[in-house]
Amino acid sequence: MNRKLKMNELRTRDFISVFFRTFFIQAVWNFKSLISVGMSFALVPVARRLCTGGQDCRKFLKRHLYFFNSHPYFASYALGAIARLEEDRFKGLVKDEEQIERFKNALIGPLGAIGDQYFWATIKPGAILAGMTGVALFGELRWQLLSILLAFILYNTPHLFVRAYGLWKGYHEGYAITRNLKIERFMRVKNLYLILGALMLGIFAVSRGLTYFEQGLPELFVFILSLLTATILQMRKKNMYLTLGLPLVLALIIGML
Amino acid sequence: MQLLTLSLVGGLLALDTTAVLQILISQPLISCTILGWLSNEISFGLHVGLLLQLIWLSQLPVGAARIPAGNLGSITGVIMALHFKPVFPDYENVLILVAIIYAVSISYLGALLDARVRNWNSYFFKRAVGFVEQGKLSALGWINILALLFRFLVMSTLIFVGVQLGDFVFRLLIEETPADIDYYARFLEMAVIGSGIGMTLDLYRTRKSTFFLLTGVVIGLAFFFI
Repeated sequence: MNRKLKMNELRTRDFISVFFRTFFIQAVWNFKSLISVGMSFALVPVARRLCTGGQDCRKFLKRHLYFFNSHPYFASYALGAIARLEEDRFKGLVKDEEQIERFKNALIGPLGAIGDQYFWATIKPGAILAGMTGVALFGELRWQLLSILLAFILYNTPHLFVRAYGLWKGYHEGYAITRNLKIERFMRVKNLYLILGALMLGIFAVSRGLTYFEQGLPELFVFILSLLTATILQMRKKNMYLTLGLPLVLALIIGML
Repeated sequence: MQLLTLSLVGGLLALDTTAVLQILISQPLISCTILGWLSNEISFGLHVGLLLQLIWLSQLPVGAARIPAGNLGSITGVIMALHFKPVFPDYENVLILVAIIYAVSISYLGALLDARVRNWNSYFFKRAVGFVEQGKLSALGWINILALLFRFLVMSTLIFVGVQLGDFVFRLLIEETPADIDYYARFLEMAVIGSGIGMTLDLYRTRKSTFFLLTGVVIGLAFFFI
């Protein structure tokens, strides 16, 4: 291989640097360019490695400053793929910069949709409910803190994996990464956390219900009344403030009786 | 610990929500425990954190949905409760009520402020474009740090001012309220837990989830009875 091309190939340390920079991807989230500043910041090591001169670097980063959006963790897939395509462009395998822009735009939808469903709607509630159930079940502070630590680990294991694996996978697949960005590919872990969350919510509800039953019937009555009121209001898509506020007001009224 | 220090720590923890890291430390269960630990009230912080966590668990930042700033609200609420804990040690139920009212109010204000901060971030974006055009690549890092610092100051100020204002109002109100107010508020915890579970059930409404939810109920019952 041409010596110049070899010198401008991305190295492991560049990816390590990109990985740590992904934690800042939403630092400058704004309504004009969304997370593009974070993307450009994460791509600086790639630019430094690939670009041959100052002008080249300026053009490179300016292109990526234009606009981008994604789920913050899943942005790693885009970063890896962009790094690969930019490397290929330098090697002459990708001729058109517009092609990379079109590819980036095509990634915005899937990265956002999968990330939201996967992390915000499944992994986060599942992990937190596991921690909360531990806190509710164990009376000793030491075990309660360990439960919180468990929630932290349960959440951050897939989180850090997606950040690191996405970068690696994106780089190795390039354009073909779009094939991997389907929710079906993440179903195993998603189902696991869905089951975990549902199980934990059931255990948590029972543990609280029985505790209140031991305290007295009025306590249990308020608990069940609040649970039913909130469930009905939530199913009817009522405002969150009303869904929470009404049971609280009822509890205060019952407390005064 | 001093209110200002707690507000600054709260501001730092709040950054985790969207701006940096996003490793869960801003969630009430963790942030309230940390703030409780810093105030030598770890059990109380954990207890309030558990209650506040349930309120926000079903609020998902999915797509373009605009949700309350629950984490920021909870941080402010728990600081408020921790601030008054040594002053009114016998008013635990009232302190929980104050934490919830504060968390909910600040969550609304916080969401509005978050949108403003994101608007103001456009300034940092313009500066970033300017620096890149000049070829100053390392300036992108500084832009990130400045944006984070700006957000941190805004959030810390909101927490600090919010708690100071609350301190003033709460002291006035507590003078006028009946002595058995804490007794009236004794069912609040049940109401928060009940409504929190009710709201969170919305996340598990599919047939498969319902099966595992009921399995959890059976496991819970077995656990207690055995």
